[in-house]
Amino acid sequence: MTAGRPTVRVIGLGNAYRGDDAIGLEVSREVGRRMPEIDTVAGVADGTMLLDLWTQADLCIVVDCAVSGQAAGTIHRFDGLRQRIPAGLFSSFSTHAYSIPGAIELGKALGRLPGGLVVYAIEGATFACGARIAAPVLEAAENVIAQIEAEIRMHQQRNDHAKSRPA
Amino acid sequence: MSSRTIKVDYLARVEGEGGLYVRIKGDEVAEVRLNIFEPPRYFEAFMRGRHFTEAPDITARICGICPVAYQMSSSHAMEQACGVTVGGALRELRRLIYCGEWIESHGLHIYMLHAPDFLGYEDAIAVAKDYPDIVQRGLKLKKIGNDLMIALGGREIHPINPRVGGFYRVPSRKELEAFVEPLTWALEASLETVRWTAGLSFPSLERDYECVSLRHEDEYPLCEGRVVSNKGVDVAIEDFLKVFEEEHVPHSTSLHAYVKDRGDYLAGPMARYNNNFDKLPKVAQDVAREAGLGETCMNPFKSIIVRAVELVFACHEALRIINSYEPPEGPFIECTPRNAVGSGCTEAPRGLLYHRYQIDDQGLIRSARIIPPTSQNQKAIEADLRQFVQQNLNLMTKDKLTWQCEQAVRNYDPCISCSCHFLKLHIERE
Repeated sequence: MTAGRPTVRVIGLGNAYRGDDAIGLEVSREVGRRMPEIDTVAGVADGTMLLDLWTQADLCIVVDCAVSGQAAGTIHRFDGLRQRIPAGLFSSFSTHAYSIPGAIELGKALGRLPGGLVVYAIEGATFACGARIAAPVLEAAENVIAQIEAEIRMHQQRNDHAKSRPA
Repeated sequence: MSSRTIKVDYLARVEGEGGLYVRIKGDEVAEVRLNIFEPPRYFEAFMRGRHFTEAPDITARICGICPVAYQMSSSHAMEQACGVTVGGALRELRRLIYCGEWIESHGLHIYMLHAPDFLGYEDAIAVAKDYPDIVQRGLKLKKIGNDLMIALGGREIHPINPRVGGFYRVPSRKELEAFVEPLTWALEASLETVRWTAGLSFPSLERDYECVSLRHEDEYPLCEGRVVSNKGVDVAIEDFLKVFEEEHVPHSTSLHAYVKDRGDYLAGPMARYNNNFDKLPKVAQDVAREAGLGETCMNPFKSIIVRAVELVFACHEALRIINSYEPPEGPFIECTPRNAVGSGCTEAPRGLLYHRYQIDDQGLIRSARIIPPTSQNQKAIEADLRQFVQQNLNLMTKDKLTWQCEQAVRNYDPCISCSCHFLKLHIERE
């Protein structure tokens, strides 16, 4: 890792007090526990801050809860630089704050995107104040954590391979 | 008689959920309603029975955009009830965190929410494609405000460090000195913001507003002062309810505030500016004059310039506080509850925020009253729309009139999230 320039950053989004919405936070924290060398962030005040957090990363993985109406625990994965995230995947309760798709569009316009950007969204169903994260969502999170670990290791291997090649 | 309907289902770039209905009969605007339909949140009711020290943390949850305002107004009210005055470095730190909120909120509104109207874009993302440097400047200003709130409050949304009597922890000189460089940049960027906004085109609208704000004898108002207006109001904060009243109207779940026996009034940046131009630092006065503002401004569309002038003030004030900062002896002053009533009134980015509490000698809250700035501005928004639509009924295309009606609402940077999530605009012409 270059000093002050994280190679990989995992950002979890959500509200810790609103049931399944906390799943992004939980995933980023668990990735941090399993891979302490990885820079993780649990919670971002608004989408514009994503630009500051991901601009300097070679690979950024963002995890949030989806509310598109599919079954709880359904996992969505997007290449944030190449795929368009469907409208309505994430809820937006504030017109002052930017969602992940808004932050990506803003980042594209301003040239402030990471080298690679992966977005994971796990469908939630329960968002009551103080509710626990539902079992299907927690099960899906286990799969997402495993996928993130694999993606990071693959990224690290590619980097190591590139460094080992003669100039 | 011709008939037409202009309808915008989702007006973005306001914080909150509501609707606007304009009915035109012939050549006359017959009715304007700012509909706010979110269910009441009952904050005042569930404050009852809570401990007085909880008020800053609970009321901050009313708003994610201006939580510091709620913390400051509630803290001041509780301290008044306890007979405590917070002065010296603690008072300065309160002004400093408030500057952070102003910089964050004004930066966000000017660049990301209001500027697209003037530039003819749907939103800030579209603006960023053509004017990336402008949007970058806005985002950087906003971030500096956020960082200041984090440094003093622990986090930028719903800060956890302010408390009744002061703070849980106060920063060292070194921690604050780290902000000198970014704030020096922010001050220059704010001056540029004034010049840039002054070059925008402004729809014509002048109203004879009653401008209501705090006024302090020594400073541009943030946390303290008397409640004044340009039409003769001049009362202590504890007498707020002698002058202002709230009423329920059928089309809004938010109460409408008005001056007793007179009617609507204006709170927010333009009201503060008009009542306190002489208290702005010279650098802000000079750039305001350079922008052609004069000492008063009654065109609500020019509130974007006034906000920029207040950005200059907030950056200048933050630097002044940091440069003279000596940490206080303790992070807070102990407040002992007693049977009493306390009032607090501070200047949220979008206007006056009034709190009043009755507490008992155990420190339990017996009653609470909160009047947020957007409630105070609802009547003024409706009056602006009435005059603006009337003036332009036969001068503008339907689309342009609709667009500028939305823009007129955004002049207020309404934080309707205290009561709603989006605004529907519906203009009906009979």
